[in-house]
Amino acid sequence: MTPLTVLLLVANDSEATERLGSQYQSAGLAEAIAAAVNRNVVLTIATRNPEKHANKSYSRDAIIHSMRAERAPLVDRLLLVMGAEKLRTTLSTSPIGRLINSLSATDPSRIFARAYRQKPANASGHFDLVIAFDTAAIRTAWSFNKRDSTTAAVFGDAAAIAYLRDNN
Amino acid sequence: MPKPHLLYVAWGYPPARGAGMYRALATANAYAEAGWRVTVLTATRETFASLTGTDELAEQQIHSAITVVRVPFDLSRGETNLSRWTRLRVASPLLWSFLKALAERAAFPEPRYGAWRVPLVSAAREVHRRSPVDLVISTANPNVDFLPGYYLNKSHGIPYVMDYRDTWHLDMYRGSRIGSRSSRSARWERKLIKHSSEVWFVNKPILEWHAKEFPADAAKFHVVTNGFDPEYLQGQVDRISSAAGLTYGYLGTIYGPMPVRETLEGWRQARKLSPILAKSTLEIHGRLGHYSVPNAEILELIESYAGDGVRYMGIVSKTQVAEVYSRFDALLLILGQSTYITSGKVFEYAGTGLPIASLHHPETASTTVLQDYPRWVAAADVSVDSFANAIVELSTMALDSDSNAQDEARESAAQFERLRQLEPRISEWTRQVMSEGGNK
Repeated sequence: MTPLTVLLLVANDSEATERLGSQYQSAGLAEAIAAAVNRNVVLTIATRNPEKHANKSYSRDAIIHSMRAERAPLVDRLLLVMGAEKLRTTLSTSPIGRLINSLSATDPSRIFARAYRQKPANASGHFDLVIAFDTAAIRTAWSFNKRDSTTAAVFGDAAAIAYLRDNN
Repeated sequence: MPKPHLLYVAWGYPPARGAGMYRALATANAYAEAGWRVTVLTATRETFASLTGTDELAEQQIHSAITVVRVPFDLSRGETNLSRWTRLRVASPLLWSFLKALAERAAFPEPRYGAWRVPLVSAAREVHRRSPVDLVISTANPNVDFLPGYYLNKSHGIPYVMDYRDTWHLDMYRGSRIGSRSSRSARWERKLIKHSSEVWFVNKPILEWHAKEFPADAAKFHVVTNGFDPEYLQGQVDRISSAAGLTYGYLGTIYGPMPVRETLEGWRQARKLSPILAKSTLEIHGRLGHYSVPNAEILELIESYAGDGVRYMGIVSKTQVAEVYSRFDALLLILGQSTYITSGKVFEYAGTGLPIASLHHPETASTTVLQDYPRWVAAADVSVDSFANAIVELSTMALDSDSNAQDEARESAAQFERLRQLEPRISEWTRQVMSEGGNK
């Protein structure tokens, strides 16, 4: 049987190292997923800070894919020049401002999606399952499923394991 | 004569986990036992698996004659399968949540539960269409549970009872009103109470507060206190305490403004005051917070006292409580201050016959429950010193008790059995419905 290909998208690296580190101490995440489906698993962790995930218990047997590019995507460079971050900080002080932020190009989920588009993992390949570790990674995971409905997309590692158990 | 038909509405019904579930389970069972045909409207199993965690053993306690109708509850907020997320939700989860809340509020002014109104009321109508209902009893919260009774009363004149396990517009900790009297939810409450046949409250202070708010309806208000279910305590082994070390226990949910820190500090101090307590342990069993995952902050606080013999033992099914109480020499009753909160566990604690230390403000409704209980000590106030003294006094009580003490205490608590609280209301409704011929 071919191995199950899984992509874990991590936007918030600090939260991931802390939470995954405490959750997968004895067995790595790849092993936990493999146990849920009783099948070999190839796990790729996509992150902008690969060094944070190297040699961690949870990343055992996983491929760590760096999304860090030589140059940031054009939109991000433009936003930087325009001082968009300052505007975002100002807007975040009010509910309506936070709503505008959530719909703007400075929203973390859009920044993460642009970064991933610029440096995708396994560019020509297919993933059976994409896991958004945090909210900022949801848009990217969701797009995988919209592009190819055979790619399942879930939010959270625990939900991913439950999903695999239910669907195998 | 055909059996009268009760429609019982409870969102939190087995296999839901949560303290309020037991009142719902016991009430429906008691009516079934009294000869009623009972149909329960509740949420689906998936709802509880996703939100509260499930208690399958409690589900097995449902009376075999009860028909359970499970009404789908919108779980989209917690949806983790992203293929089910709409484009709008992905574009802005914030905007999606706002619109969702708006739609829920439009249906019924109760956050997260409002959207249940439509499927719940139509399920009630369907039950009545298939088999006419004689009485509706709803238990809240959520308050949306009250709506099937109201609508069946409006369309078919069926009487309904509102069973307030909790309160709607009374802040039980502050004793103040929540929201304005002209708010939409306040108007709903006024309307529901006005058309109801009876309203049940869990204690007198709550009834009195509502009687002041709704003087014209006060005559139909009744106190139906919580109680303990003796069947769950069957198999509890009497405890012979030994000076080699005691096991103190807390069994219940820890949430809200409970003096947990003072209790743990008091425990630490008591261990310094008493050589026996220095060899003793404190076990905390039950839920930390309202959700299936333990509240991280409370868990961290408890674990920081591991060196003082404090252990968190996890969630307990009601069907395992006898086994858990058998481990204890004495019980700590930790409660937030409120003249309105009795707490369900005070009755069960008394039912065990074990020595109890009340670690809460003296002006808490449960104080009046325990005042005649023979094995009881109470902290003078909420402070580390008072709690430590009460914990030390409790150890003396546990060790000085003779072999009959637990039995005697248990006997004195028999008045708190849940069925005894429900019995007058069951008899009254059976008499009323039967005298009207039943099955409208």
